Amino acid sequence: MAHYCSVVALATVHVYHRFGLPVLVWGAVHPDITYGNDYPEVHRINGTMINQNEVAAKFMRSLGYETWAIIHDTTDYGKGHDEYFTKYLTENGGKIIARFGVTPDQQDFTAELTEIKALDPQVLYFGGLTPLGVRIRSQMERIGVTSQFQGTSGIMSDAYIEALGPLAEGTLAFREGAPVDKLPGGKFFMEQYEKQGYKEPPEAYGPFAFAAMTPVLDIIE
Amino acid sequence: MDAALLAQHAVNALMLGIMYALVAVGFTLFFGVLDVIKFSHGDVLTVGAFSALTLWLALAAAGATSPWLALPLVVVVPAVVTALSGALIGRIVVLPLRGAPPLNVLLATLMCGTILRESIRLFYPGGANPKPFPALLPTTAFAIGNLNLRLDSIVLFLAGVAVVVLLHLLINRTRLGLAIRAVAQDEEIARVMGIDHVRTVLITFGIGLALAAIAGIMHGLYYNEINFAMGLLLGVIGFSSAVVGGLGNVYGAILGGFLFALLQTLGALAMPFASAYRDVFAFAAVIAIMAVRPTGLIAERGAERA
Repeated sequence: MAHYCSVVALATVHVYHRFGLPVLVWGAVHPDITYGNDYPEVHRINGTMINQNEVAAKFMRSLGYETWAIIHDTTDYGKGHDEYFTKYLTENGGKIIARFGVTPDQQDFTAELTEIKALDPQVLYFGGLTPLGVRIRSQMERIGVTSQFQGTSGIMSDAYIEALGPLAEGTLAFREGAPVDKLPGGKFFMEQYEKQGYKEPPEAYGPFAFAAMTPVLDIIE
Repeated sequence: MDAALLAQHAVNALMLGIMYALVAVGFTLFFGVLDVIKFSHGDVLTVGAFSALTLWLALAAAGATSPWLALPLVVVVPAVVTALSGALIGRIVVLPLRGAPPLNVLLATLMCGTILRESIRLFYPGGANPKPFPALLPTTAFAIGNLNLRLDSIVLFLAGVAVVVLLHLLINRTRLGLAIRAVAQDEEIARVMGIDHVRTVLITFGIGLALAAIAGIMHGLYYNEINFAMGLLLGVIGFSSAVVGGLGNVYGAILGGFLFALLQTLGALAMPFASAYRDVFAFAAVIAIMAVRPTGLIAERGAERA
């Protein structure tokens, strides 16, 4: 059962192959984990950031947005989101007026946000994970950036909402696959999850991890 | 670029600068009195911010959410707590190692920092996630063209300056400050003159760490978010600022802090679409300054004793 984090999955997938260890990816969305090689041991349950960003780009365009600024972290994860979102956005007629690559542990975004404020894009797209997403959203408020904030599946977590409070309201984020109550077996999953009485919420990829376990258990049995 | 945008960049840099300066002053104080580099400093800052948050949550649970009451408590209590814990680290870890090579102190405090950081991550509830920090200051914003100035930024900056001024008065106008300066200049003579060495050193540690806690709380109030790893880079930046300013000199550290913030902002401005490299730019500039002025911008007086 591997990997929530795309960057780790990309780095380790070759090791699994070398040891002939079967792997089921349930959360990592970078396509190259499964498409970038032809390892027969590596399988995928969830979708990829290709599907996610295609839908995101089309949906945002259908809302009438024209101009975007992009902040992405410079890991493979953030760069992947940048690449696929840019691809589908430009195909669908959206315009990217600025792009900032940032380090995944950056704290202060006031310089980038000041530049973005001057360019005044309609949407600020962020390709990266929750900690940076939280910082960017709260610093947007300080600098007075009024663009719509759009994230990826990487910020879709209870931690994002908990850290931002009311500021989290109105943030758009996309995930491949339907919400849990519309997934086949989603209701069953939530019942089982609640029965276990875990302290943590199942988060965006809990149902996929649950689904990934099922074929594995079938084979073991 | 219009003037309002430049002003916005200047405001951003000043806010960063005051936080860096407070961290840098801690490094420089420790080096001044004991010739040690205390690398747990950044993580003590995180402890300060997290204890402020914990206190705030406790106050909120007790229903005491009035900012006038909560703010002084949330700043003063963690500062005192971290000052005491810092004096404790000084007593238990640093002072017993003072005869050992400086590298040992550096390593020991680096480990202390890791223990503090990982303890927050593991033992604070949900410590691996970023935590919201309450906005205790008024968030009224003034917009002048592209310049967005929030009242809380102004208050934080002025508070930072006030802390620096108070420190200046403490060091130059009080008996305690006299003792600190005496120990920094010549430990043995200071002992001969009847200055309690251990006490002075521990108080200096306490002051340095209280400053770190204040910087951590400012950080929380400014970004409205804290996380267990926030002290890591701040520690490195604070240390670099102290070295660039001239390790051992308080004013050098303040100058270094603002210089580093300026360099970062210039880096982001000079390479608008490659801002990931701004830290590379800033640290490279620090290396260049060190090459030109190895003693730092303001050399510590009596540096020959090293």
